[in-house]
Amino acid sequence: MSEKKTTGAALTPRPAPRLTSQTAGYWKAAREGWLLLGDCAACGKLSHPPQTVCPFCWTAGLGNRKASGKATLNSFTVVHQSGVPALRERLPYIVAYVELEEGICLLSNLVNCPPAEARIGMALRVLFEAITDESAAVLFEPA
Amino acid sequence: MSEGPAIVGVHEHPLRLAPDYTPLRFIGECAAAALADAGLKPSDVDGLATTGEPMALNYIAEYLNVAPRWLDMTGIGGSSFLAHILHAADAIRQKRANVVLIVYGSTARSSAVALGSSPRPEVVDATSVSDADGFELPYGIILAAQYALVAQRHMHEYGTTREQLAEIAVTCRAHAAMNPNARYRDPITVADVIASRPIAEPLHLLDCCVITDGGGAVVVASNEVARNGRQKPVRILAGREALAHGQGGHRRLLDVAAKQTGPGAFADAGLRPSDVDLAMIYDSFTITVLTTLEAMGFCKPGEGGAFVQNGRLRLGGELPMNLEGGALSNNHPGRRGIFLAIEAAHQLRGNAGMRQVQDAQVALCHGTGGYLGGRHSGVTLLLGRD
Ligand SMILES: [Zn+2]
Repeated sequence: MSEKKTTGAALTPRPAPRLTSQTAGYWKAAREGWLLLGDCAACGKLSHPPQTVCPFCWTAGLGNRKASGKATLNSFTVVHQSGVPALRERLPYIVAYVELEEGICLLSNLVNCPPAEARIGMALRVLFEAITDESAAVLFEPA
Repeated sequence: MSEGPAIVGVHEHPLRLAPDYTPLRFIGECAAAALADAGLKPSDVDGLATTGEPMALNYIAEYLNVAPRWLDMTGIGGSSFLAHILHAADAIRQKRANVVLIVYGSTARSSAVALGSSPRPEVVDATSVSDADGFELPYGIILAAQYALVAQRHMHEYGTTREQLAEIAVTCRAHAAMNPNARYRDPITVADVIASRPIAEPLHLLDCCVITDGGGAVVVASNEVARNGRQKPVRILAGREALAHGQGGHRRLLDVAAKQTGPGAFADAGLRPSDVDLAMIYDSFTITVLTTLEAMGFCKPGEGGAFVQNGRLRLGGELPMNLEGGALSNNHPGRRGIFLAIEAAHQLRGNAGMRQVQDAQVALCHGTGGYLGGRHSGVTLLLGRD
């Protein structure tokens, strides 16, 4: 996490996420090199994606905490055809279902990894790729 | 069982490519044909259901010039029509409707809708209910990828093979050969599926459903109507509906919605999986079928790969499935749940022709709508004959 690495500078930026009052903080943090998780003061559970109401106890005003960025690969798929123009430049790309060491699962891409070397259970670490000044993609690479 | 609401009329449109059609034209033709099949007239219809864009039902009611007193536009993906049938049966039992018409029409193929390689075929704009799209779009999470993640995980946990998944596609193609209207009818082999180009590995082209135009209609009516109808009544024995989703980041990929619906549907009907004579299972992708078979209890979790082999799903096998060719070979205009019930009805009436399952008495339909690796719906319906 301390490296705050970025990747993909030569490619068309990925589609920018829609920033809302619930999500802008998450994307801004990613732009600054941090992956935030929802952190509920009322029930103690972590969650993803960010929302203002805790998805477990429905308490409003959900807080957040920084994830360590350490993860394992829960599942993946090598994508060869994409309707998303910016992603077509990245074909074939790896869609990953990532399990963070905090126990939270999220969808992302596995990068800096040849498709033939992707293995379920492999250790990963987070990295970030700028999309706009207000957002960055949260990506993973082999640890 | 022989007193309840029943499916009394059905129609699946024969066209698979219709550039000069609109969805409403499909709906009009299918509604007329299904009513004729039932021996009913337009003024008998007092309930109307469909899925689609907001207010689609308003346009359909105007086009058909009906004044329904019961409405349902549940939109939970391709399984929606099975939910409509379930809801219609409840409404009829409560005497809120007597004859419910459920309709569908789509020009997905003519409109070049790339279902599988798009992140989300529906319109997403600032009014969208979902903030979550932003968490998928930047990563190119196309629809096929959501299913492929489940397939990869299943292969990892249980040793399921691509050949086993391919067997499902081969089965559907073999059945499509007996359906003159099917989009693809030439036989394929497991090797053909393996060798087809990769879309989202481990899913290759022939693991993915076709894209067609099409339409269908189903008429659900009270026992009084069914008793005097033109066709043998197809009884709605039981059903369940459910949603699966990301669970705040705690979702396990193999926890498909079908696990929430199958056991309850069987319990409500007083039936067991071994009582089922044929299965109509939404085959958006081969993995959808495998996980559904396990969730319905036809085999244990993890045993789906072995279960689908040795012709078990073929006509003449232990559990004949998708007799008209399924989404993998017959048709898939975007949301095909209605076709599951239509073929099941033909089979239970005994008028399925050369693809007829001998003495079919109980049919299971299960629809999966949405994205198997993420937000999706599951609807199970058990149908039977008197
Ligand atoms: Zn909470």
